[in-house]
Amino acid sequence: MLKDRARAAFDRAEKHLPGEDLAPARRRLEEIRQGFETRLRVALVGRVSSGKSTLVNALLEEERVPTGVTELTFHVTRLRRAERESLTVHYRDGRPSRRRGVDEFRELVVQAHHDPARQAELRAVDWLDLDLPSAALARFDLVDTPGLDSWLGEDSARTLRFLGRTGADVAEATVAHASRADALVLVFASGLAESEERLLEDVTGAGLRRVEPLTAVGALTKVEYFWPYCADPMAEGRRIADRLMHHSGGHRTMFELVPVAGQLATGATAGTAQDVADLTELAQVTPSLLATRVSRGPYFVSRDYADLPVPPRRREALFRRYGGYGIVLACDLVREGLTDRDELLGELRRRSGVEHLRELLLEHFGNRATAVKLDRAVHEAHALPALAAADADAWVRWRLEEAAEEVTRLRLTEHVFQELTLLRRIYDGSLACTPDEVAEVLRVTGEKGDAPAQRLGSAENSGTDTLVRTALRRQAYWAGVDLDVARGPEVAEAARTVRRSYDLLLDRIQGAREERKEP
Amino acid sequence: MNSANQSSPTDPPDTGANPAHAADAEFGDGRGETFEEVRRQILDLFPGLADRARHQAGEEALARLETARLRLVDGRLTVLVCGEFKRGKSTLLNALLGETTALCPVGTSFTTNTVTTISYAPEERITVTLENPDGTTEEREIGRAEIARYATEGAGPSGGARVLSVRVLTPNKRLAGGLTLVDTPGVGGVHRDHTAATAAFLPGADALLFVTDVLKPLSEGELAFLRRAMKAARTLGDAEGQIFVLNKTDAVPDYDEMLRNTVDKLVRTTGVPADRLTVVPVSARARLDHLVSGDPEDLELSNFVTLQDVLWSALSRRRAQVLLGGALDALDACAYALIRPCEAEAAALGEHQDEELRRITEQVEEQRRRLAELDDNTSEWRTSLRDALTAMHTKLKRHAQDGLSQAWALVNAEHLYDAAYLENPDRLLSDMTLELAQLLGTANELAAREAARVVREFTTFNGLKLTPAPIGRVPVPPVPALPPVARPEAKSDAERRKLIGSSAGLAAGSSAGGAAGFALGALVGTLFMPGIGTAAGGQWGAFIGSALGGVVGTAAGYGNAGRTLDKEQTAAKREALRRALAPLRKDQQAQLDHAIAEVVAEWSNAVAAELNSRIAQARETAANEQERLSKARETTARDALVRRRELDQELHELGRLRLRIAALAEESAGLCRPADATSVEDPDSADAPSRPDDEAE
Repeated sequence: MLKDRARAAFDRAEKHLPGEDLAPARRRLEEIRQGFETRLRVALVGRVSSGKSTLVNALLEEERVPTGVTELTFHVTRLRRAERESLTVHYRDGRPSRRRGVDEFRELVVQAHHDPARQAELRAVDWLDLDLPSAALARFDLVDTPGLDSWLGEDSARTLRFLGRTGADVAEATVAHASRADALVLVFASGLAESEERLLEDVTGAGLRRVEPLTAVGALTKVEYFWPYCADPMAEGRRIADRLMHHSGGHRTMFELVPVAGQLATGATAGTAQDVADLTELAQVTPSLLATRVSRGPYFVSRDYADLPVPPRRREALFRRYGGYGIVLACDLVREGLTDRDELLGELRRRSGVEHLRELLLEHFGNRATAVKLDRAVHEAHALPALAAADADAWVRWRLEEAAEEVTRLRLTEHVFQELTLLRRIYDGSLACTPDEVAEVLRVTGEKGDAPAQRLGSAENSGTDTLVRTALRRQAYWAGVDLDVARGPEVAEAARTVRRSYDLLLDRIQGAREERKEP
Repeated sequence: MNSANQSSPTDPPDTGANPAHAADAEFGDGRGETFEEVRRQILDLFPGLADRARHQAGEEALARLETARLRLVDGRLTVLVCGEFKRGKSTLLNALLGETTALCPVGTSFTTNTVTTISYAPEERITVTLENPDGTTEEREIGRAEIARYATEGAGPSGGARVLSVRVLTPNKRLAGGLTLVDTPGVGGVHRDHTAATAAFLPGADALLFVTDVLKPLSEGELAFLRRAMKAARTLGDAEGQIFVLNKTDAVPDYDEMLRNTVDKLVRTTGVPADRLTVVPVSARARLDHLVSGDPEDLELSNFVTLQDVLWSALSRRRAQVLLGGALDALDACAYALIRPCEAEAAALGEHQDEELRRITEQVEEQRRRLAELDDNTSEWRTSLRDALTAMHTKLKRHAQDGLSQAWALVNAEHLYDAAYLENPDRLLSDMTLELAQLLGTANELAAREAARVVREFTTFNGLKLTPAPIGRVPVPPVPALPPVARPEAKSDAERRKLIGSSAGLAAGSSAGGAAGFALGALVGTLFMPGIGTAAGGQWGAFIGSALGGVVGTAAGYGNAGRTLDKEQTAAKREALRRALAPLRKDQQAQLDHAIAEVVAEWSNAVAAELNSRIAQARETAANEQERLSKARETTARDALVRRRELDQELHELGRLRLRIAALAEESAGLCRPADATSVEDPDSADAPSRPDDEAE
């Protein structure tokens, strides 16, 4: 296994670093190793109030992270999976981290407003670790960051003063935590800049560690507000996402940009049976009349209308939870026959784009976690020799270089690095491959999952023979590509990498077959 | 707020037959329509009076009448629409115009990134001004469907040309009275020169619509813009003339909290107390829906009845009055110039012929002598006029220098210690450019007002009033219109360019600066179109634009210098930036002095021309009187009877005409009444500090 080989490399590297002189280097190596061993960490970054926290809640399927401009949204919050819920508060002033109840912390924030001692504690908070028994965190940790804006408006200024922070601190913390993360979700809110292109510049210019499609996907939030200007706001969101990806160079920064209606998703997650009953009632109204009534928000939630079956108070609850577009969409779905509560709310979640984003995170980050983490570890190990002081003696230098070499050699010996190189080329568009070929490269390198059937795009229960046949057929195809002089040397090199991927895959399938035969 | 607030959204709907709502169904422009009607009626008076004047009065009276007519025809009421991107500015403009086929491009993924002016013409014509990569400009006519391609972010024509401005002429009835809407790019400052053009134009605009919405609180960038705009407004004594529009009220269940938040911030930013701020929650989308559906509920939600009323009230406070009042003044002066000789003749033909005749003749001769003296080039008033104009120059210069010093004091005391600026010296430069742009615009507007004051003073002091008493109750316009003065030695563009080049040459990147200035001149020139401001517009704009362009170019040069400092430590960086900026301040000072000298020279010409023209008309009238008197002397008793009957008829007609003029003046005054009962403050007292000389009239 790749992981074992990597661990062995770390072990070997450590042996090169004995004694007191090399202790700092040993500690650094251990850090790098820890980074590799821990679970994948995905950070959400974007401007303040771009809807990051709403998105985190939507992904978790429960409202765990505070939204809106509150004291809490200015802290970095790391969300991890655990058996039991707990909150760990990390401090900046060197005092030990403390475990507190979630509600206890909220209470602290409230009390701090009139209690100087608590205020001092609140000011010292560096970041929060929130452990949750949430299935959504099964494959990776999420990091909710406050925002990239170094220059915040006066709304935030008061809150920040209270927290003893400045906009620059917040941006710094965001960049620091985002840089420590293995992968990023770039959050863009439509409407937060003159154009989405400017938002893209925010991210690329924020001083984050390399942002590239291999480790970044995007979410275009607040898409629901396109309604009623556009009858289908999600389609409009897709159009904008598409333009941003393909005409404005977004594809060089992120793998995919998913339009998301965050409010709708959270609403659907918290939906009640009463909501569904009310929506079902409203679905009786002619669609055009309903759309007209809903589009006049303040009147829809307050006025008596003979032609609307649900009373204003209930309408207001619906509006606040699902938004105007959510109500209209839900009623459309009810009319199409989705009257079961779970089905309806599930479909709303699906339509909100959040489910797709979640799948994308799983596939793109979850399934490639090991490769992504190893890539990073090798990158960091490469910098080990730089730890030597300027006047360090040759022996120390040599040791450091040897240790680094143990890990960085993986780059040459492990095929996964050839695959990563190939993927980078594909993402930056420098390879002239057909869309089918691109899809195949992504698949065979593990985008859709690590199992042989997933890498081959075969049915899950395919027999070993089918898998072998498929792999051989695809290998033959890429052999042809390799030999096609017209396609140029880069494509030929790519084809050789793909062929090797199939080789390794065939080995795995054969190995599994022999294992089965042996007993 | 000026009860511009619509009824709370929680109010039950009006189910009974509400007459107000019935009127809404036929929703017109309210005050806007009244304005247009009065304007049309005033215009109707011109041909008849001109006919009489042609036969009985002199050339100067006729010329003045024609000038006044043209000024009313060309007169523009400009509404500057500002706000951050994505606040729905373009939708609001379309809704104000009642255009269902978007005239201002709207879309989810792009924003307007150029200045667009929209005014009336019998046939639609849309012209874009493009800046070519080599710095030259060209104009191109396009169709309505193409506007989006030219005027929006992420679009633009091919060939590397940049769009400077879009000018739309369209047969929209709401614009027929001279209303001009100016759509500006976001206030954010990404488009430095467009923002500078907006800042320069702002002090001269007749109303400012500041658009924000209920979805996102006012941002720091918007507040910074307002802080600057308020500085100019206070200088000009119009601190309460802004209209704040809170758009998109349809998208939320209720907006009470957002309204409170917005008002709080506006009070803190503008210093205007909450009860005197005009904040209008609207839904432009509902208004557009209403155009299609005709559903009164859409109109009610849109709150556009209030918006238009508030808008016209703001326009009437200043320009509408000036436009109509100026034309009425000229009409009355001309009628009076016709009446005086008739009265003289009639009196001379009266019973105590000889005695009366001698008295009148003496009076007229005295008047002619006085006027001839005034007309003389060595006349004393000319010296005092020069003094007055020099004083005006000094005043303007001091004001502008104070403004600049304040801005720089802020830079030295605060901005240079602010990480946001240190990290991004470019922002500091943009800010300083905007400050200067606005100082230029304010200086221009102040000059116009000062010039008007000088004209009033000299007219009163030297007995050059052309009518015995002001007509009707029309408040004295703060800015009487002056006749446009043709500049015999108007500087060619090439010369202007040279001028800018030389001052921008102090900085790096000066050649680019010069080119930018040229293009910007074209841009501002389209804003200050003829008749838009207080005097000849176009040349002004071109001049201010080119002065500004020099500044923008200069700043661009420093911008590059600033970036090279990035790696240095904060304190060192601050010192380096301070040093780098020092010459910029000198440049700005020079630009400002130069611009003010130009502005003053231009207005001085206008003031002298106006006073000379008044003297000329008075002399004509007096000459006319004298001629009539000699005619009366030779009239036999029998002829006198006939003649007197003729004169009575004539005087009767002219008297009726003057009554009609007075009635129209009354109506225009009605336009000026405040938008609603709660803001009863007298429009005069509101901006009294700016014109302490009103009593002089």
